Amino acid sequence: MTEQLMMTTVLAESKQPFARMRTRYDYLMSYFPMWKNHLRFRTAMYMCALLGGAMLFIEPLASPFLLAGAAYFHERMQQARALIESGRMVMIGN
Amino acid sequence: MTSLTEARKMLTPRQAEKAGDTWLGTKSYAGGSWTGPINPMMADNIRSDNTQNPMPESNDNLVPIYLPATLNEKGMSGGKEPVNTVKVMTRGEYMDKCMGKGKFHGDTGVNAVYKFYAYAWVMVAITIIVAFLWGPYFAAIPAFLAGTYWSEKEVSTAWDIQWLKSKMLVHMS
Repeated sequence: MTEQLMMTTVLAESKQPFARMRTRYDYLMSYFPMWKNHLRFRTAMYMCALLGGAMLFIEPLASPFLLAGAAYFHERMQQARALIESGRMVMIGN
Repeated sequence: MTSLTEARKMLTPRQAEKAGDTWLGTKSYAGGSWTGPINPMMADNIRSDNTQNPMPESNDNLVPIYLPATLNEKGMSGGKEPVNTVKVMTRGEYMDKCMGKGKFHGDTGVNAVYKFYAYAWVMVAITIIVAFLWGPYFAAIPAFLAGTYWSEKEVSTAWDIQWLKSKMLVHMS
C-alpha cells in the first residue's frame, strides 16, 4: 500500500505564537546593536584599507596585515547587514 | 481510548505564553486563523484546548487596526490609501526607514539625532573660540546655530524615537 504524504504547515501545534505584536520602538531596539556593529565594521574596513594602502609606501611589511584586516571587516560588515536585510516581514500600523 | 496524539499532548506541557504576545490569527473576529477555518480532517493536529481565544483579553493587546477588504473612494486620505491601514514591509526596509538611511542631509531618522547632537556641540566649541578671538557679538552667530541644532535634535528624538513607543508592529516570530 502506498503511503500518501501531504505537506502541510500545521500552525495550531506551534509552541509559540505565529505572529507577535510589539511596539515599533522595541523592535527597533532589538536590531539596533546589529546596526551599530554594521557601522563599526564599515568604519574599521575603510580605516584598514586606507592605512594598508598608505603603508605600501611607508612600511610595506605592515600593509598585508592591514589589507587582510580590511577583508575581515568587510565580511563582518556584510554579515551584520545580511541579518538586518533578511526578508522577514513586518507589519506596521499607519 | 486515548490516542497516541492525545497521550503525547498530555505528556508535554503546553508552553506558557509570554505577556505581550498576541495570537492574532486566533482572535474571535479572525474566524479561525489566517489559514482558514479549522479542517476536521486534520483534527489530530489541532490542539484540544481553547484555540479560539487562548489568552484572556486585556487592554494591552487590543490595538485597533483597520484592515480594508475593498478599496474604494470612501475613507481615502489624499486619494491614495485609506487611513489607518497596515503597511507590510521587510525588516531591512523598516530599519532603513527608522534610521533614515540615505538621507544624511535630511532631518528624519535616528541618524538625524546623532548628527544634530554632534553639530550642536561643534557649534558650542566654535562659539567659545570666536568669543575669545573676535568678541561676543560675532559669537552670537554660532551660538544661535548651536541652539537651532539642539532644537532639531530634540525634535528628531521626539518623532524618531519617542513616538515609536506608542505605535504597534506585528512580526513573524
